[in-house]
Amino acid sequence: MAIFSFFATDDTDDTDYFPERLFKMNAFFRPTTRTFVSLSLVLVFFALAAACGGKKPEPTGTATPTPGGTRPNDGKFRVALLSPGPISDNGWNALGYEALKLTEKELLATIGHQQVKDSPADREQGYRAFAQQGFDVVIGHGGEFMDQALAVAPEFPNTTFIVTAGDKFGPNVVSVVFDTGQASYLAGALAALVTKTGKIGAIGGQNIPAAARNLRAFRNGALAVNPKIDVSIAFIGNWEDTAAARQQALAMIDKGADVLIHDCDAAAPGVFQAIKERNVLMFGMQKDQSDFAPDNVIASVTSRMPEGIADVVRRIREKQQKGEVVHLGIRDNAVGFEMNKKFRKGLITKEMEGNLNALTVSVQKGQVDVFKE
Amino acid sequence: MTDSLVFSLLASTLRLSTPLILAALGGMYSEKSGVINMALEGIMLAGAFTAAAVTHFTGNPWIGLVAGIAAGIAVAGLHAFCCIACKADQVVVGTAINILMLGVPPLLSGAFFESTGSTPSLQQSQTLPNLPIIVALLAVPITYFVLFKTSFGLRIRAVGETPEAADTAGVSVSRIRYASVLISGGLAALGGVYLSIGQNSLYTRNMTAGRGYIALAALIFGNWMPTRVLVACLLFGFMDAVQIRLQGVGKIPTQFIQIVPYIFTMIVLAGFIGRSTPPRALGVAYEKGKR
Repeated sequence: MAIFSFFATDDTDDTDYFPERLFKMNAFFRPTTRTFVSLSLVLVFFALAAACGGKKPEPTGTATPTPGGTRPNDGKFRVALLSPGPISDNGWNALGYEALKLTEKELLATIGHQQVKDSPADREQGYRAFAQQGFDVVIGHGGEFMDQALAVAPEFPNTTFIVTAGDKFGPNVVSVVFDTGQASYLAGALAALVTKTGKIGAIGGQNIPAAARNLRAFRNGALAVNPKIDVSIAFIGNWEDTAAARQQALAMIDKGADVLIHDCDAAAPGVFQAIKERNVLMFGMQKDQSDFAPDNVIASVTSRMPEGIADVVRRIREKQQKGEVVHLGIRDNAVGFEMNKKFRKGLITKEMEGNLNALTVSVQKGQVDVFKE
Repeated sequence: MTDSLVFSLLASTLRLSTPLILAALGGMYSEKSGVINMALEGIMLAGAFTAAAVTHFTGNPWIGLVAGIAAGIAVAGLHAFCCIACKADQVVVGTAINILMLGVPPLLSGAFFESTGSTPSLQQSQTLPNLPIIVALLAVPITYFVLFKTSFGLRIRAVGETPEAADTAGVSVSRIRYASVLISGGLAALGGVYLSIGQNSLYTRNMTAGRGYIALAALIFGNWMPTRVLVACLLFGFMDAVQIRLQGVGKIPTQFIQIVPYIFTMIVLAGFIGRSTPPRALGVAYEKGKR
């Protein structure tokens, strides 16, 4: 407390140091001890920031506009990522950043990254800033980048614009779609085979088309095995609230569900917590998540998103990629269904395995519409 | 069957309300003394992260609990220093702290665990699933007693209503406000601790998901009175639990179900609760000798 009292009792210091004649703006700004302390703190902060971050060549969005962009003539291949959220999310954005790092490692690309705010103007500005600096490929990581990519692309014919999970294309616009639902379909089928209560559940984050399609595929897979099965689908409304995810899972289990799947990104630990507590079964999503609950996770729907995106970037560099919507699925090894190797033996019978393999083949051949309404 | 469903609904209500109760009661100490505690969200995040990280390293949730509360008090200390000593705008400082606390845990977590998204998962035995619920429920009568039956509480209220009068009577306004904001930090942090090592077994980025703001709303909703704030928090928790159970029933769109708690809140606020009266000096920095 004592160290604060210097400031706390220092109430009259701002009157006499600076005669009013010298400082006409004194109604708005009167320099006081406090002002100097704050200013020096700000200076120290910037000095620290400069010391820590001095090495990073961060891209800036203020390049002067030149038609077609100014291309640095050093023969380097440049790839940039625009992420809609922080790359620390351990999910969607982290995978996008992994893809970027992969192009740096395997294609020796010079990389740039920027997190853009959730507005069309910011996304367009993000695309434009990198294109103007002569980046060869700019990845907008999410379907929301579609319209801006199509709007900006004609101005920069030498740059290719990628939209992850997009649904349209242009001469230099490529959409990359991961059909994770193909594996979710298999998860649904296996869930219907192992459930004892005939009730299973799926918990999503936000009710956006990608998540809704994914969980619908899970339901379709279950219905393909057992048309009478009871599949409940719910959304918690965001991608972070672990407490809500846990309560949603407990509610489903209380209603009798004994196999769950999730597509709620960073909120998923709440679901894992609930299934461990009640000892029911579950499927992981996006990557092998069996470590979260080794005794309860049957398998995980995995996507090799970094490899998939990096591969499209490689084809762009080799001028083999035309503007199109690239669908990547089980057949391309971009989406997978990984069994939990530590899972208790005996639960998955030989017969179930046979069933699952037959389904996998028909999904690979495209004989079933896993996303049907 | 219906009995167990009712029980699970009530259990869920209690679990969802606990962090709200703790944070709202924390906010009450601060606001009764005249300092708006907009930083509740950030304080909860600090508590949640520290508890999970310390429990991971020590293996003892009790040490994690204490560390989490200490972290919350430290962040509250920052808020208090800016608001009381520097007389900065309390809403702006609080908001800045909330934004800061979105970034600091991932930074530290990246340094300690090489994962910026979450801390490593703890064993089931290393969590404290029930203790915070009990503390939250006990904190309501204790807060009532402290604020309305002790001389310390009288001083807090005096400083929040008419700091000039309290100052004249020889009460140190800044000292009482510091104490109140620090208590507020400890309670709100416990709410965060419950989220990470009570409800769950790890910290994930932004796991509070706006509960600090909901707690502030409950505080206003409950007119800065402990029992009414308890009712408000239980109501929020109950509506949330109901919303969770309504999903997948019939053909109602999920988006509609998710707005139910908020619509309900607005109806109750507008229709049933009278005008709420905040402490008179709330949000105003005290300057000696100023009229």
